[in-house]
Amino acid sequence: MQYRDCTEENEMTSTVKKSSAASIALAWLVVLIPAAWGVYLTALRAANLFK
Amino acid sequence: MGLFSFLDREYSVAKPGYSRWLVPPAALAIHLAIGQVYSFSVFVTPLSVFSQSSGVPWNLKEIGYIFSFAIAILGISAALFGKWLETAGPRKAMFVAAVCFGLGFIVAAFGVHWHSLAVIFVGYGLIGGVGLGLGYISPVSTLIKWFPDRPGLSTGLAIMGFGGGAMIGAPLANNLMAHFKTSGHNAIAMTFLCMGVLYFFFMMFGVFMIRVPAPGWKPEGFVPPVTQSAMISKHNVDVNTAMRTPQFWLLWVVLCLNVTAGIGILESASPMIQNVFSGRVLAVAAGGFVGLLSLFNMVGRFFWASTSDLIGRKQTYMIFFALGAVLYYTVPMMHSLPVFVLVFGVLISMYGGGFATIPAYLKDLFGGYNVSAIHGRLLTAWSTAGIVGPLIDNAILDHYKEQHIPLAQAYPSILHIMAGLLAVGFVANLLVRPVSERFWLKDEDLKPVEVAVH
Repeated sequence: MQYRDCTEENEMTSTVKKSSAASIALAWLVVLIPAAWGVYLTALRAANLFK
Repeated sequence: MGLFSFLDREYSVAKPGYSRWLVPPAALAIHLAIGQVYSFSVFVTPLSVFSQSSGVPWNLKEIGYIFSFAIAILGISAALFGKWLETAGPRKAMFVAAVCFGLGFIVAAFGVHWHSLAVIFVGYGLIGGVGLGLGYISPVSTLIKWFPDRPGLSTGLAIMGFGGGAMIGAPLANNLMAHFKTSGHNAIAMTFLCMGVLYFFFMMFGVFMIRVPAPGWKPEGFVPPVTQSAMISKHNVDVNTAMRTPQFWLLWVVLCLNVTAGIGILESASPMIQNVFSGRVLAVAAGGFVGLLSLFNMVGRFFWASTSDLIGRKQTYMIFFALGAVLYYTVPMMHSLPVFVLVFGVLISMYGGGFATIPAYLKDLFGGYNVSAIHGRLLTAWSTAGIVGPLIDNAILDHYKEQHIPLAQAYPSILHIMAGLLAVGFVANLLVRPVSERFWLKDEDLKPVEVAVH
């Protein structure tokens, strides 16, 4: 019984699937691309103040 | 298993290995979408012009009230549904927010089509307003749970999105209206329709991405500090009990006054700079000033909330109120345009910082157990400020207009009143002390929401 528990634990540890760097980058891109578009257009507008 | 069971809290518990850095984009998707409300002004003139064709024209004030109504509903719905959110979980709350916000636009589109201002009020103001309130508070406690080491940074990231939402919403609306106008459609109705659909799907990205941490989860290597400031409680306070504490009402005053000062300036930024620098700053440059303030508003949310993790929430608000009062009081004496612009940038960054730092302040004082619900109720301070700030501004400006005094002379009075409000806010913040032990929830009263997870 004890042996089986340890095995299950080891299996669980080895099957932990970590989020990939690519999926994290992709998730950030989904929100950062529209945000960057908005910031860029706002910065262009703000530049009028210094013309 | 029902069609919508994926929305249940138990299906949104993160599996081992799920990166916490996937959670802020989910929150940002919601806040970047609902932040569109700040750009509602782009519809005011087109709606007014459009209404002329119906024979019953709407005046600019009536149309402007749609925005105020939506913000009022934001505060009310955040206060009403905050407690429900704590039990339903962030995913379900975000879904309802996405449906309401998207549907609000669609109903408003029909309002335009039918020439009915009342239907636009119900759509964008009421239904959309509920989406705003639920969307605003839904990711807050989840972010705090994922980032116990940096709660300010995490909530600052999300609430920064709300500040930046108008930067996407305004050009998106303008481009869509221009496109539909040239193609011969009802430009405003079609724009509302498109925006409703687009925002719904963008918010659904957040719905699918959001996860709550598994019970007992901690960031790798994170050891809760053994000794910490007395202002950071290790205990929890229930939302209804929190409202009976002086701390809740002091923070209500703190938020209300910080927002009142900032919102009054944001409202009149363009005419103010044109009046103060008459002949030197024209309408286009004044538009640039408003754009620059939006950037400071957005960046300030992230900067100040992150800074509060390092220096403490109370100290952060001390800076807002002390530095803010001094700057508001002295800015009328500054005659250099770059200095004037920089000072207002700093002031507006602290306005945004006030919004972004308050969830972490609440978590410090009342614990994380009901923080979303408490945050929701505190947002009524925002609704109040949204009425009081412009009222002060307009009352003074109207008085100067009636007396035929140049408006440039009205602004020092407005700014001095704002400085006074911030001085009161400083005192309120100074009075904030740790919550008394008699308000703490006992361990047996803590409902194990996450323990019920399968």
